[in-house]
Amino acid sequence: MSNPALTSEARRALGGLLSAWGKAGRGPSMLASVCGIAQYALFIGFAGFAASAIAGLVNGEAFLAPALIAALFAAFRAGAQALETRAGFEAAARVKAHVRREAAHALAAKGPAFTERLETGAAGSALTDAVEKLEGYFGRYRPLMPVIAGAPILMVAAAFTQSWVVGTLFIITAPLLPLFMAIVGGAAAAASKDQIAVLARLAGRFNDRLQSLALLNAFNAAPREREGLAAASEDFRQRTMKVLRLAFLSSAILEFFAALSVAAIAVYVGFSLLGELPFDAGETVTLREGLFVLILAPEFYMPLRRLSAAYHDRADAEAAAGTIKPLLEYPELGLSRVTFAPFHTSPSLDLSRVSCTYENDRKALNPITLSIQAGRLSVLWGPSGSGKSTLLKILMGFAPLSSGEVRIDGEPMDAPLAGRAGWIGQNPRLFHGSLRDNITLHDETIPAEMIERAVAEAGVADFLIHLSDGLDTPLGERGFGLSGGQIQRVALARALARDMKLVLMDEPTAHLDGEAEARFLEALLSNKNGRTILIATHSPAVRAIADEVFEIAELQEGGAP
Amino acid sequence: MKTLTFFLALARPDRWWLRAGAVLAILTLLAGIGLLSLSGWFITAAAIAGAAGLGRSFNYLFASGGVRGFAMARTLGRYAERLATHEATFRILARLRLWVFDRAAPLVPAGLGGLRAGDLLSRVTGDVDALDGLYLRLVTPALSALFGALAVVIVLGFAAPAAILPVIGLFILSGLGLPLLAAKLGQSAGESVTQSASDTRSEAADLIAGMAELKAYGAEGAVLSRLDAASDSWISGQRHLAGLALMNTAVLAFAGPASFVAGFLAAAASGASPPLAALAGFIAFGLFEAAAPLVLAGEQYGRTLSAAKRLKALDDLRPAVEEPQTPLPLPDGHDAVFSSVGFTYPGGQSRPALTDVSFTLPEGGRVALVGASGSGKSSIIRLLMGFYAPDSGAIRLGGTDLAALGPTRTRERLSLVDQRADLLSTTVRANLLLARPDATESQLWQALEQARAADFVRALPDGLLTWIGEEGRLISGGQARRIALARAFLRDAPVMLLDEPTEGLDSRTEAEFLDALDAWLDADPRRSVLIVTHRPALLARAREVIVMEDGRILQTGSVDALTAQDGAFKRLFGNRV
Repeated sequence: MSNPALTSEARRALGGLLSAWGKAGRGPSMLASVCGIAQYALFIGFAGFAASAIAGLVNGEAFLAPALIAALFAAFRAGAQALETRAGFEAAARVKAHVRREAAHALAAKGPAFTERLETGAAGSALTDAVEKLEGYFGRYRPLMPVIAGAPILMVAAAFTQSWVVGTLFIITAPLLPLFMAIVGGAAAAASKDQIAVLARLAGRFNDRLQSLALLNAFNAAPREREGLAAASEDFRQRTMKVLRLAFLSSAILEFFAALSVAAIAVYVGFSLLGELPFDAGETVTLREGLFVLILAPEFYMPLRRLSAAYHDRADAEAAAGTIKPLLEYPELGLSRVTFAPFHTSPSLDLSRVSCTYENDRKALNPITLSIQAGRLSVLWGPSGSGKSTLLKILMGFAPLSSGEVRIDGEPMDAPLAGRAGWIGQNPRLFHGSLRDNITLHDETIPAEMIERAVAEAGVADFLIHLSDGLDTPLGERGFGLSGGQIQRVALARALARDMKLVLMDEPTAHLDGEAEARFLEALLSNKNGRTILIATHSPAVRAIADEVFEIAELQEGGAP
Repeated sequence: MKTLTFFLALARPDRWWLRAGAVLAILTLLAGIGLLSLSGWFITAAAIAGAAGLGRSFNYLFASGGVRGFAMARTLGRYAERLATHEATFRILARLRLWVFDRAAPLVPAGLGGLRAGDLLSRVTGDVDALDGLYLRLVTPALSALFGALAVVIVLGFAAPAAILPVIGLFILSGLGLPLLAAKLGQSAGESVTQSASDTRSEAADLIAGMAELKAYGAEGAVLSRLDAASDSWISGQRHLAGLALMNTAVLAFAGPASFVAGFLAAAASGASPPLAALAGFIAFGLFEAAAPLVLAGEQYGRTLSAAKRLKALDDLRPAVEEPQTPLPLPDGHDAVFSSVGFTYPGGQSRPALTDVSFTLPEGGRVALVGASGSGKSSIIRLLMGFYAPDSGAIRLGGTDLAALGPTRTRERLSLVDQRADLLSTTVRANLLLARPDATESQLWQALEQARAADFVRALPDGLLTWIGEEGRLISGGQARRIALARAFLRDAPVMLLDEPTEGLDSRTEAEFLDALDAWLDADPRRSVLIVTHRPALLARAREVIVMEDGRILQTGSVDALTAQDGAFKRLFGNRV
């Protein structure tokens, strides 16, 4: 904000992004522009015949026929206007669908290393609300640009055929308006960007606090947090009103000029007709001509007024693009888009001086060398923060492999293991959908008997009987209705249903009680044959069943690279 | 309609802003109508006077002054109106948000189990935003259209009575008929748009929060296509609504000029003078400015109504535990006593969660609750916290029934560390202050030290002011847990409830934590703790262990006594203790 050059450069970048997105809706956008110009041409026809009708009445000539022709023009104009709106909608719809898809795919390409740093509320809002904010820009603003250029020229030309004074008035006022608007609107746009960021934070905060209400209640803190939210809303209102005072000023200037020029035209024409003009205009305006320009005048400023409304569409779209852009530009983690088939036999893993440093120089794993034999259950053991989880994430491709080498069955690992290995994280997500969906993750090729076996082996069967619809019971977002231990068992069933030959687990028994942990480990042992299993854990019980234990030392800050 | 009046009543404190907005809107509309019709009349009358050579005697001061006055009034009026209505809207929006928060707060965690968090978010941000249309786009336009039409009737009554019928008739037809039609047709489309918008949000949340699982199983494609489908259905719903809007736009675009023609023709046919006939045409044209917002209001009516209904539904939900009218004062003691407590979760669960549970957590007591998951351990904590109320039996704190104390008072004596170790998405500091808003800096650090969290918090980029993300994902699970523990220490309530407090901690940190807990307990002999756990290390510190199964207490006794007998305890822990 403080550096205007940077801001304008950033705006140019966003503008380029918006132009690129616009290609998805180019056809309908052009159609909208053509219809937009046509409707003003048709309005000139209406104004001409409506003026003829009144003049006809005054002069005792025919007025019915021109009145009806005027109505006909009005009808055609309405058609053109409708088509313009429709085509604009279509342009925006195509762009929105395109951008939402692009952003979602980009997120998927970047993977959990990126998404785990996002707030679900804010990022979800970028995919939904921010994309919606593009509508005005692509549906109205962009199609309007050619109309701004074309329609006023048509109407000035029409005005000149009737009165040079009025035509000149149009020409003089027309460029002044965008100038004023740009001055005022520019300030409004800058402020508006600020305000949209506040809005996003406000939405994020509401989301977070609503989701954390149980926690707030436990500390009797809901009333206090309410005050915090009230203050945030109040802050938002004040900031927004500051923006709007400026933004409305730009449209007020337009209104003012439009109204003033209608008044000026009415007074000029009236005085000219009375023969009372204080100067010699060098033209005599007839009643028909006078009425014609009077009807035309408000419409002459219409495209500009529409632009002034759409100006905020552009500011909105730029802000929205700013929100969406980070989702698109964070470097992809080199997760291969080629899908590898899961392993048919249990693989061996050899890690040689593998380490991980995030791009902000945060060290997450000191170089480590270890050899995990095929078909064995290995445990990573070490204090929290030592990098056990990071090691698993490196293998999956969820964390960068900063140095060192991983070999699988002796061959260098050419792509991370995502898609080829089972994964049980610390806090497994329960997706909204049925319990079955949560096990298959919508993979319909998994045979029913595999699901049933997994359900039995993972201990899901224990609580399945208490669910009203069995496997078809819908599970809520964040797993309302299931306990932490139950969610963990669903996560285990995910891996077993696919018969993964390599399974990585990050503290899988953290939320299981002794009995369930014992049962889980029993199930794991009976399923361990033919699988390579690598578990990061603190649990002595898990350690006790390991074929091999790798001790990981505490992470030394500034340790040898 | 009843739902809408409910929310209109909610806006009462801001009624003066609303009224100012409405009055200014009416003035602006009238100025616009005046500007056009006076200009039309003036030019026509001037032409006739000029042609008759009467230009000099024509009273143009009134007309030209009026035209300029209307022009000014219109501009200023519009500016002030927009400021006033927006001011009102933002005030009401804030009020609505807080209203939702107030309604939702007592329902959590008992009453929201069936509701998706995404739904809740959509309710607050989406529905509240949709409701701003109620004031800004529904009430104000209706009022100004009404007054505009009245003014036109009065003027035409003097100028050209014959034009009243066609002008007002066309206006009512398009200004009232179209919106009603739009509302009717738009209602179901509006509801389906809201639904698919909420689906899209849920899929987006699943994609973002569940990325690791999806990636691991190569399932991100499935959720991507579900997101795509939800987005497509959202856009088709909008297209349907836009189609309705289109029809209205077209009719409206035609009706304005048509009523110009109709007003003019009707006045002329009735023998009105040409200037008055021109006035009748222009006044009709000017009035139509008020029709467009009305039609827009009609289109939005469906969306506004369904948003209002969903928000109102929150109001009809009753909290599982109501605060008593006049809660009894907190007693001096704080021993917690369960007497024959029976409890079944609401919502059609047939199996009781607790049956005939009786035990005492005395002052200074250290009691561990053990049992398989689903045996009722966490239910005991939830009942004690006042999240739910028992169906039978009684729970007393210091001799007073929890029902008479009410949940808020009860919780002043309790401090809970949950399995999830939920953290707010804000700074470490704000997370700690949750427990004790007036804590000093040194108290914060002391609590962090006690929970063995001070070292890593000091190493965070901004220390106490480091923003920890959703569910504290910028820090590790074990670290999040330690911050939650520090928060509980800071709370300094005499009864500590710990639900699997040391999950995710390695055994060394766990031992350190237990030492800290012991130190905290020893510092005041009246402090007591109830620990739900399956970790042997924690059991070792308990003076009494309660073993649960299927909602019943099976065994009670010291660890040594329980280890000595065959039974549930031995089954659970074998030789691990």
